[in-house]
Amino acid sequence: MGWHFSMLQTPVTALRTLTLGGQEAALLGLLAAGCRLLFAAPGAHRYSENAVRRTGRRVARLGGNLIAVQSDAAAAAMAAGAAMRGARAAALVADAAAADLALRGLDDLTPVIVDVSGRLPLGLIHARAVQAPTTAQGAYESGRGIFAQVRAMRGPGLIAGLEAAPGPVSPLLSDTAQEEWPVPIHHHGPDNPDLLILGAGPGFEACEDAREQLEQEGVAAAHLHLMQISPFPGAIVAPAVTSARRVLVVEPGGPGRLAGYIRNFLGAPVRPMGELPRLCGAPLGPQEIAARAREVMAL
Amino acid sequence: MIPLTMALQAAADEGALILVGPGAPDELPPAIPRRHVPPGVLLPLAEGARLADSKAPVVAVGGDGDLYGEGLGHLLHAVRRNTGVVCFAADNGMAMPGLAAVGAGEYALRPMALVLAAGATFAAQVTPDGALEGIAREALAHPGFALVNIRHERGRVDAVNLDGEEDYDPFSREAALQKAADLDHFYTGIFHRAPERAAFETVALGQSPLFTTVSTTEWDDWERIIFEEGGGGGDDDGPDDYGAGA
Repeated sequence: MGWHFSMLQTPVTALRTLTLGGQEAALLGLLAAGCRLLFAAPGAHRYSENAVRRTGRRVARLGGNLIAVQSDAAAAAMAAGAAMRGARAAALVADAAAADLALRGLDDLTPVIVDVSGRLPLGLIHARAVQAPTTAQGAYESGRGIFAQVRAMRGPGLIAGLEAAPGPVSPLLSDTAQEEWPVPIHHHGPDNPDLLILGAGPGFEACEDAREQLEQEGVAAAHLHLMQISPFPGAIVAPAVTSARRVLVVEPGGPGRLAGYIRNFLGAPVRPMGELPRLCGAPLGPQEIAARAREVMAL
Repeated sequence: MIPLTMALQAAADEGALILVGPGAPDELPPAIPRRHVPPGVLLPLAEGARLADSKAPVVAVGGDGDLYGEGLGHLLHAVRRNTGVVCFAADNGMAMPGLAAVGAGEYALRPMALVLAAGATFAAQVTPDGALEGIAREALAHPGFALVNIRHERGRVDAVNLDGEEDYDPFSREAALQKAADLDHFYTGIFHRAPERAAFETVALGQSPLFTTVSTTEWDDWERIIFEEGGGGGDDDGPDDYGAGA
């Protein structure tokens, strides 16, 4: 797998854009943030060969290195060891859970783990900052901003759920340590909706298509999509959940993970809440989401 | 374990980062600054630290259950990469105090044979006696990956010191492999050394600045690197040119 790479020149502004897939955009963002030491596991290369290869070339031109290592766990631990010495280091892995396991007892270190598999494993124990961007530009911004975030949160970071289709990326440069990190979130639809579709990371388009489908059927449906899982944006999620008559949580990482976050934050579900697990490797379509939404509406 | 303590203290005095995994000798004095790390990841952590700052020495001290069990794959890859990490293994033959003898009918693991087969450039085995300090200091001076296996075995009287064998050449890998594969004897001393092979970090990294802060003033460089030469292009943009460690 791997996205085609092409260059575009915007006619209006001097700033040029690239067309990149989510994985490559996130890795480019890491380089923009000053990351010069990356460790790639074999699985990451298999999932995203061209993105990894091109990132290796770019970081070499920037004077750094992308080093192929034996496993996800090794990549994560080596990035953590480099972080021990103050480096902005990243691990490219195919299984964030394996990388997370390698970081047990190392929660004070600040490596960044990039899971290029497209999955979003929720419920990891050690990753403090978790980003799940849904667009190529969002992926770039996640990569550019996550080092500042892990430094602030004093723990490992994770960028996962990278299944964004190729899109335009403006490769802005600046030291994000000086910037405010806005909570990346998408909220579309009426206030006080009959139904709120709540998703995170992968499945953005399917959720939005399902919302439009329900809207055409006369349902006042809204769609809230989280691109940041941790720190959990409860201040945004709580009012959206409590103002909806029904809530459907489209679970990106297995049954009950995201709904569990919401329940933990709210204390108790205040509205009937349905869940739609998205099991690994089984993408959800809008029809399936809309069908489950109708069931939840009937609760 | 006093000789190891002295060697580690000397390393710490030179600014070494000392990482300690489970199963390492309990009697390391608290005065030696170190970080304790979880099982199985001792060597990748040490390698990462070394690659981030190749001027500062890195020492890893772990038990055999950690290095030859959960972390065995990492050990072999650290050996073949030849990252400049010095590793001390406290080896009690996977014995667990208080349990019945482990190993009945089992074949003993031969760490020297394993690492030599993986391409070790410094492999030594000692018992916890006075010879350890001298070998530890030689390991600390080695440019690449060095493994010193400290075999704890009470009552072992049949150890054969390789230093006492006049015709033994530690620069010969074949000779070292022959000794390591000899199941009838227990050898101590430096099995093999190959200081001429450069450490991984000097080959892979050169003088790279590994952590930088990119500012907008470097836009020209950034734009050239990102836009020119395509940074690749298409799915058939040539063979991998990353991964010196692969």
